[in-house]
Amino acid sequence: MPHAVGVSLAAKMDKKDIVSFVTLGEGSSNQGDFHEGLNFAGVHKLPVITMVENNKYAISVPLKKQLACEQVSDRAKGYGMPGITVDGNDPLAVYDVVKQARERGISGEGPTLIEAITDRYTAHSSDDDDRLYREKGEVEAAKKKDALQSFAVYLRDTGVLTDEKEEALHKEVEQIVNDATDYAEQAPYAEPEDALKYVYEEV
Amino acid sequence: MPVMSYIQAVTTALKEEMQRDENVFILGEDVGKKGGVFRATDGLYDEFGDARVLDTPLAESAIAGVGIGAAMYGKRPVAEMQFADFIMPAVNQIISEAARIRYRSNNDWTCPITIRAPYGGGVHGALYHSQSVEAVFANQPGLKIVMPSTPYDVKGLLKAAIRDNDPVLFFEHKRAYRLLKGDVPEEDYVLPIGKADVKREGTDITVITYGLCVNFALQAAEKLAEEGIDAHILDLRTIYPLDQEAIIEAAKKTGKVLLVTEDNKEGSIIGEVAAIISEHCLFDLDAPIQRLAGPDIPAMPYAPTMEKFFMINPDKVEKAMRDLAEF
Ligand SMILES: Cc1ncc(C[n+]2csc(CCOP(=O)(O)OP(=O)(O)O)c2C)c(N)n1
Ligand SMILES: [Mg+2]
Repeated sequence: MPHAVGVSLAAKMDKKDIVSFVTLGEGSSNQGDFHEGLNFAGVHKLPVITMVENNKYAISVPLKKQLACEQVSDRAKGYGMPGITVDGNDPLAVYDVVKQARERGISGEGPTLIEAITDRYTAHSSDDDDRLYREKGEVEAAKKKDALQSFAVYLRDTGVLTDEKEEALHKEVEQIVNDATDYAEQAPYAEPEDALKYVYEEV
Repeated sequence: MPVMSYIQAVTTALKEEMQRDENVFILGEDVGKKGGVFRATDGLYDEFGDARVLDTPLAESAIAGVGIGAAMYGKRPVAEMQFADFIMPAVNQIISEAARIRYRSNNDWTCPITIRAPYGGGVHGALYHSQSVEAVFANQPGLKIVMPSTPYDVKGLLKAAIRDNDPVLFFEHKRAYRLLKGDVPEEDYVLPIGKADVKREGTDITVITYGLCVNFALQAAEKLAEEGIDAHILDLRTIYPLDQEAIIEAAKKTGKVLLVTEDNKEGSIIGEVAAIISEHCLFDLDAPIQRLAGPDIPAMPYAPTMEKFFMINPDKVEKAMRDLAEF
C-alpha cells in the first residue's frame, strides 16, 4: 500500500496528472503499513486512492474480529482524508466515487479512502473449507446481490443488454479463457537453471 | 505407542500444554474456528474457547507484540505466524523487543513467548509460502530457534518451548506436516532445547542438518548403507544457539562432514556450523567441509522444474554424501 503512496509522490514531484489507485482487503487494512501509508499520503496531500474491498472476511476471521470501528472508511478521519463507503456490488456507484476521488487527487486536494462493501461467494481458496466458519444461508443470500447478476438485469432494463449481445459476450470471454488455458497448458516449463536469472541486474 | 503425523504432534503438544497450564494461550490468524490454515490448532477453539484461542486481526507485528506484552505480564502465549514468510512485519517486535527484554532489564523482566511458524518449500507455494527465514533471527542472542525433524521431537520440543522462560521461535516444515509420521508417546515429556540429537550412528561420513532435511539424509543413508557407506547423522534440533559440543563430536567422529540446509547457501546457519568445525576440528578433518543448500536466489520459484532445482531432496543428499565418502 505505501508503494501507491510512493508512486503518487513521484508523480507529484514531476507535476504529472497521475493519481495512483490501490486495492486491498478489509483484513489487510489492519497492517501497520496500511496506516503508515495513509498517514503519509494525508500529511503530504498526495493523489492516491485507496480502495478497500470489504467482503467481511479475512479467510475465516469475520469483520467484527478484524475492526473495532463500524466501517473501514471511519479510519480515514485519522489520516485527514475523506472516507467513503460504497456498495461494491453497484458498478455505477463505485464508478461515481472513484471518479470523484480522482478529481480530488488531480486538483491537489489529496487522498481518498474508499470502502467497497461486497461478499465472498466462495471459500477463501481451494485449500479452504468455509463451512467450518460460516452458515450456508449467508453465502446464498449474498449471491443474490452478485453484481454479475444484478447489473445484467439493470443493463437489460435500460435496453443496453440484449440476449444476442449477452450470448456474444459470453462466447467471447469463454474463448479468451480457453485460449489462455490452452496457451498455458502447452507452454513448456521453465528450464531449471532459469531459477538463477535476474537476482540482480544482468549486464 | 500412537503413530502420529508431524502436525498431529503439534496439535497434541499445544492441547496438553493448555490443559496443564491455564496461562498458555494461542493467538494468530484463523487459529480459532477454522483451526489454522494447516489445522494445527484443530479442536482447540472448541475445547478452550475464544478467550484462549484468539483469532487476531491480520497484523503480524501486533500478534508478536501483543504476545510479548502478555508474556512479560506472566502468560505463556503461543503466537502463530500463518506462514514463516509473514513473520517479516513482526521482525522489529521479535528482534528489538523479545530478544532483548531480559538483557536490557538486567534480568528483571522475561518474555516466555513461543512463536510458531510453518516454513519451507516443496509444496508449490512459491514466493510467499515457501521461505526458510531462520537465518534472519539466528544471530540475535536472547532468541532460541527450534526446528524439529520428527513427530516425536515436535511434541517434546514444543512443550519445552512453551515452558521455556525465554522467547522461542519454533519453525515447523509445512511439507513435513502430513508427510512424516512416527511414534509419539502418550505421556508428557520434554526434550532439551539447545541440544542436538544423533539420528543415526555411523563411521564413514557425518551429515549435520535440521528440519525436513534430516529425513532426506536418513533416506539417503539407508541407500548408501547398501553400498557400504555408513553415515552418521546429527540433527541440530535447536539451530540457535547451536550445540557446539555435539557438532564438534559428530565432526570428529568421521572427519568428513556434509552440512545440509534448504535455506539459501550464503549466510545460512550451516555456515556457522562450518565455522565451529573449522575452529575446533582442523586436524580431525579428512576432507573439506561440504555444504548442500538452496541456491542464492530471493524466492522459491513456482514452476515445478525450478522448484525442484531449488529444493533439497533425498537424491541430492545421497549424491553429496557419496561424493564426500569417495573423497
Ligand atoms: C502478511 C500476511 N499475513 C498473512 C497472510 C495470509 N493471508 C492471505 S489472504 C489472508 C486474508 C486476507 O483478508 P482480506 O485482506 O480481507 O482480503 P480478502 O481475501 O478477503 O479479499 C491472509 C491472512 C498474507 N498473505 N500476508
Ligand atoms: Mg476480506
